[in-house]
Amino acid sequence: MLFHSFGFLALFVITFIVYWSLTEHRARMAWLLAAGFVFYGSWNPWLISLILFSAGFDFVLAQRIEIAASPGRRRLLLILSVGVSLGLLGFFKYTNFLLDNAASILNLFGLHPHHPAIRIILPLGISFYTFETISYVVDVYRGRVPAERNFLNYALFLMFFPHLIAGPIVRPRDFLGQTRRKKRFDWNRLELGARLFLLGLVKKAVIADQMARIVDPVFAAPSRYASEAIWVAVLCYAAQIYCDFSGYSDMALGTAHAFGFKLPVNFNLPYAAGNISEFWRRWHMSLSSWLRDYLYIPLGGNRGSTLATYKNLMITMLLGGLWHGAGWNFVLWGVYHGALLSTHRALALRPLPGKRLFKPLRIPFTFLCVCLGWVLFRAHTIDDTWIILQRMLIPTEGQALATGSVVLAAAAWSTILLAHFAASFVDLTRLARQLPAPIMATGMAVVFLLTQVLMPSQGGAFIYFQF
Amino acid sequence: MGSRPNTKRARLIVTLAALLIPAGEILGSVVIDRAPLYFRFPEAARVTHALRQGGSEAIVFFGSSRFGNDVSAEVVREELHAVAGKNSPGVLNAAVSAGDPIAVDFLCDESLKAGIRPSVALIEISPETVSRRNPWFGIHLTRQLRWIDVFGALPDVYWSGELSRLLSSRLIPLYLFRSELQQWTLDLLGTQFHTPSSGDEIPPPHTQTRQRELPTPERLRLGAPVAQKRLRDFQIGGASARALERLIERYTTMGTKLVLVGVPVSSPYRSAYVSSIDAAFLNYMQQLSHTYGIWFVDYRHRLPDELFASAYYTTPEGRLYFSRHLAREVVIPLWRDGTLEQFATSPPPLASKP
Repeated sequence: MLFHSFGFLALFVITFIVYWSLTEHRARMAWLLAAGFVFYGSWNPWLISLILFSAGFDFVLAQRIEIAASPGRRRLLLILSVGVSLGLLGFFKYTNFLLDNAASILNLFGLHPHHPAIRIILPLGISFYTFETISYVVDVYRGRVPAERNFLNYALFLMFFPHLIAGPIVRPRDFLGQTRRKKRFDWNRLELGARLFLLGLVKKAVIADQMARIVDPVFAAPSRYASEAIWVAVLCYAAQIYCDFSGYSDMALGTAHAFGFKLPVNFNLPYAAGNISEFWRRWHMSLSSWLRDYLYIPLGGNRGSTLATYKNLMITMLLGGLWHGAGWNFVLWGVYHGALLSTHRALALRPLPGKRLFKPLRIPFTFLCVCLGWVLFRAHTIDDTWIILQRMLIPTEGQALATGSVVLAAAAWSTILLAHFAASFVDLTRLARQLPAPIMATGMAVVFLLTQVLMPSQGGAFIYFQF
Repeated sequence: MGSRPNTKRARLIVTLAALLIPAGEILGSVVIDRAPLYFRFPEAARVTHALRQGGSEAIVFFGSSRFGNDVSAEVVREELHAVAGKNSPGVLNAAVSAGDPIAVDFLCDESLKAGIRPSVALIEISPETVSRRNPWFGIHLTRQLRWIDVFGALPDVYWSGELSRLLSSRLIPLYLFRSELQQWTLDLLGTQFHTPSSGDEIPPPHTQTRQRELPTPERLRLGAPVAQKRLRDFQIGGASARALERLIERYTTMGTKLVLVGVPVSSPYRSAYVSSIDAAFLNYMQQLSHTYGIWFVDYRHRLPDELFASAYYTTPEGRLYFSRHLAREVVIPLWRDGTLEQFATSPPPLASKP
């Protein structure tokens, strides 16, 4: 059930009406949890049991950690909880990747063991809810949040349907408190939610899905295309992945507002970043901050030697890359970003000649570095990655894109740049509040109707659903 | 008007937007109802154009993708030419996707509006195309139905189980017709948008089967459940039968010679025509023949299974065979003598390839 489907619209409308018709707070939370079951169950009802197992296990263990007297026992329980969470994630996500690589290594030594392909379904959202359960248990261990005593609240923390499949990754400190507070219907939040949802819908259904029509064929057979076509496709992918994922996040935030919940902002004009470190503070912010708080800092962060800091950055980004998917392309993407962050860290504090001259170019340069990273992220194979990078750097003849495709790409990028530029200098929320209500309402209705017209006939699922 | 949250304003925005969106959709459906034929039903526009070219003397085959695949106008034309030489009439295959009597009646309307009356019309017929529970009714709702027809269509919507299609065609037309709207806008702008993978040109029905896999017994066997599903709750009547009778009445009144052709299908598909269904169907055909003075020729069992590429599409050899026999046994006698008295409606099937 995709956010931009009529099935979701029906689920939302029914959930919304019943939710606000109920007067009891507990009943409302139970109803939201039931909506989460329906939402998740529309893909695979059996896999709800996996989330419930994970939720139940960590719910109990967190309470045990809280009451455990000895630090050793607390640590043991923490290791057990994190181990089980990562074990489940590892089994469902990385088993085949590990087996394939083990077989490849054995092949190098002339050994050809029988390697049965294991058919494992990747439960949707497992990477997201695993990180949420880990952060909960770690926070209880560190004493940052008290262990939750109400299973309904904790289950809703994981299964609140707007963020269930692809984030934002919520923190227990931010969310669990919201499940305890009685909600009051607020027209302002509903209006804000509607605006956010509409913004996300436009990003996903109009820009991202239209970009996919240009990107997919080029990345499927890059050797057929000329350098210009490859460049356009890479730029289109940068637009697609941003609009797809930030569109999903906007829709999630908007839906949550309709139920009186606030989710963390996940994107903040990432392509306006002036360096790679800033990019990661603006892109998938809930993941970046999670990696910082639960991986980078526990590894030592920047408290040790310079070399240790680089090592920590590399490990964090490598694992961050691997979190996205079980493939060498994601590993390479993580390593690439780790290297960029390390390089930036090494150069940022040094007085380099020409640094001032470089200043106006830092945004395009950062964007270019990010785009090169997207090649690693999107290409099907390492060979394809190499072909694409080669064609980007060495002018090569080949098939060109149709003029219409280039016009579409230019239109999409103009919109994104304009939005980035406007949002960097103008408070759009304030501006929206100053518009007369009938104009605002008409504008929203027209945008919604136009979105339907501009959607491609074959819209796809969200890119981050696969992670 | 300040920049602080204002509940009254927010309520007005949400309520107004919630009212404007369905209003916009309904307005959109009214506009789309009035759009030119090529917008909603491009195949019909193509057929009407071809009928205009062919003039009123033409021999026309009306039907679905089965006729589109199984009948070669070229072969029929050659057969006619062999008999009549230069005086032979034009032949047109006016088959469209989901071309049951409802679609043919619509084409009849369109051609009559353009002042075109074929001399001979051969209309594809089969039990499933006259069933009250019409499996193609959802397609008609999308491409032919207008607001003015909604009330009358409700019983058939109920029988065909297409309520969601009716609602989507009326309440979210901008979403449903987004590809058409995009193409129309691009046409207006004079831009051709072709991504490497896109193929937005709809092939004529007869070319679709060329892309299919080679015939296998499994493919033919798949026809039985398809036919059973299409013939579920079989009962002659509803919009299909009404449309058939309406178009027969109009064509016969204007002097067009009309033949209903039982379209050939493979034996697994035919197995769904159980005796009760077959008897009701043949009885209905007989009744129509007597009432309107038209002919029914039954080719449903005429082709052996070797001549089928799938459950109900013939191979190129099957197409040649069927077209040639239809020309010799039906088209030529009817065109030459004005009658089909000598035609036996149920000749035995051929045992092998011609």
